Amino acid sequence: MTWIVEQDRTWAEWAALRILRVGPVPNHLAIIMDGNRRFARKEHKDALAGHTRGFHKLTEVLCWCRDLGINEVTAYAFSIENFKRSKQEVDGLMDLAAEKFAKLLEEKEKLEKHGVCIRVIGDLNLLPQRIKKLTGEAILATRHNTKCFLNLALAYTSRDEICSAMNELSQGVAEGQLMTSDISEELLEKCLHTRGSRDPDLLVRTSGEVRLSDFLLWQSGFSCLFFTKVLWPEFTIWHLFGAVFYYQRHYHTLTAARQECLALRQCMVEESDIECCHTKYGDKVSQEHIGAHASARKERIENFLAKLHEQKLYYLQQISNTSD
Amino acid sequence: MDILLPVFQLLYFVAHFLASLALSVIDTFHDLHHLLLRLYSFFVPTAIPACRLQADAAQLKKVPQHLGLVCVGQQAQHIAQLSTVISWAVGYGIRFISLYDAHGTLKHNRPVILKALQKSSSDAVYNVLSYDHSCSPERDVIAGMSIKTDSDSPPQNITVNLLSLEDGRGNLASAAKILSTTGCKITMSLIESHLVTRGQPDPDVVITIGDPFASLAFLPWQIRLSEFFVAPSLSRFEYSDFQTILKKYSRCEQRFGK
Repeated sequence: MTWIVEQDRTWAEWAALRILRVGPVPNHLAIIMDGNRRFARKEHKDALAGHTRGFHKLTEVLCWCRDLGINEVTAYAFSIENFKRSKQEVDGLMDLAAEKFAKLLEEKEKLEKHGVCIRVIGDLNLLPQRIKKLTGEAILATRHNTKCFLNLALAYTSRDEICSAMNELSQGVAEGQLMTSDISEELLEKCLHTRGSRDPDLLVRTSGEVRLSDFLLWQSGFSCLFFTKVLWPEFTIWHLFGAVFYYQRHYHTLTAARQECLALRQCMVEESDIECCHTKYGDKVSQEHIGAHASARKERIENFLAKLHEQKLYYLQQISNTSD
Repeated sequence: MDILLPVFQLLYFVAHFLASLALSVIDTFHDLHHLLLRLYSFFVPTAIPACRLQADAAQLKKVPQHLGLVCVGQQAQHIAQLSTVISWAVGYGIRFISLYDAHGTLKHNRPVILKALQKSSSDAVYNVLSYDHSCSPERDVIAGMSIKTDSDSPPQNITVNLLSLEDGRGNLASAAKILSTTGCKITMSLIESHLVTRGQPDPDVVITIGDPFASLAFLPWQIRLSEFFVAPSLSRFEYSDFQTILKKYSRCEQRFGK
């Protein structure tokens, strides 16, 4: 089963697609693929068959998203909490991941043709050695593609992500690259695993659960939440159309709320700049002082983020070069 | 040039128009229903007695400990209704309530909320908390109307958090600021000890009141396992809606990743 599925649309699907594309379409879709095991139980198959079907559904959804014009998809594949499942199931899932990543590397040219960039968010160190190597290779192989992005959350929880971002920052402060006053919401956000991608606009969870279950807690603040009862392997293009239609109805309110949040964030940074200058120069603070402080801060942050990026790249190269 | 494009544009607007029309028809029916209820309650007082709330709560398998109410846009102005919802929650035995709106309207309306809680006919003591930039709480203790000073059992202590945008992501950023100065390894429990809601359980149920179904950046760290529900507006939020949500919550089975 390949990563790039190409399907023909029926005329009804095609018409609905064209109609939805008139309005705003989410740039970034986040999916919690829930219900694979319940589906398998319903069909009297073992859990792993359900997960395989779930993966096939994901590749299909990617095809639908390409047609709709959604160019970034983040899927919750495996949570850190999922390691608590039975050894048999975890091993099965890991084998499935290994098989799919191997397939992905085989299909490198095809992915390049479609411009698909694969990123993995999560704590890769928790994964078994062979999966780690394959993930590193897959990320490095597709990292120059820029047309559509697929972020796979593997060994991911949002709390872990926030925690490790804070550790990066604290290390930056300890090494003198950053000052404590440089830390802001924006900088913390740029240290998350999802750095470089936009916040999801629409978050879909299947199978009727109405929780986020530690998925993109920070990033989904202004996402439109869409919970549907259908099990993930039974998710159809019409469910996706429904979700997008729902998103379109609330597009303006959510965009306005997000803008407001960004404006507030900007205000806080400016305030903190002024406060820092006050403690440094006393009452004789001029506009130049503040300007100089802000540009110095920006430079420090830029350098820090560049170094972080370099470190991550080096880490990926290292894990993909290890021998089995 | 795509000749079919105008056709699809037309269909797009028709589809959204029909959806809006259908929703407004439903809204009108709800409003009429609400009006009738109002008229009815004019003759027969329908404030739900505490014993009924307790009886309803006793039927549920589990009751949340912490309820979050996210008010979208103008909903934060309906403080009288908010205090009614709080009194239901207290009747169900919910000990922690977080009221949230992104703009901080609720924080500004703190005196009004305090007054509304004071007038409520519950027998609980409310600790109303809100937080400034340095996360230090501002606390007011308010007792409900029907509190008995001479009863043997101490009154229930209810914590009410008034939260706004800064208490979510901003709080995490300021926690990062404080923790980075210590230089030690940052763990999840360390982060938790710097949050505004430290010592409180995480919200079990979050009800978004208002139109878009979104968390609006409500306490990103704490909503990990919260169940999300939506209600279209506070003025139409009836006791039966509240009961339905809590019933749904009590039926939910959490697997914690397993």
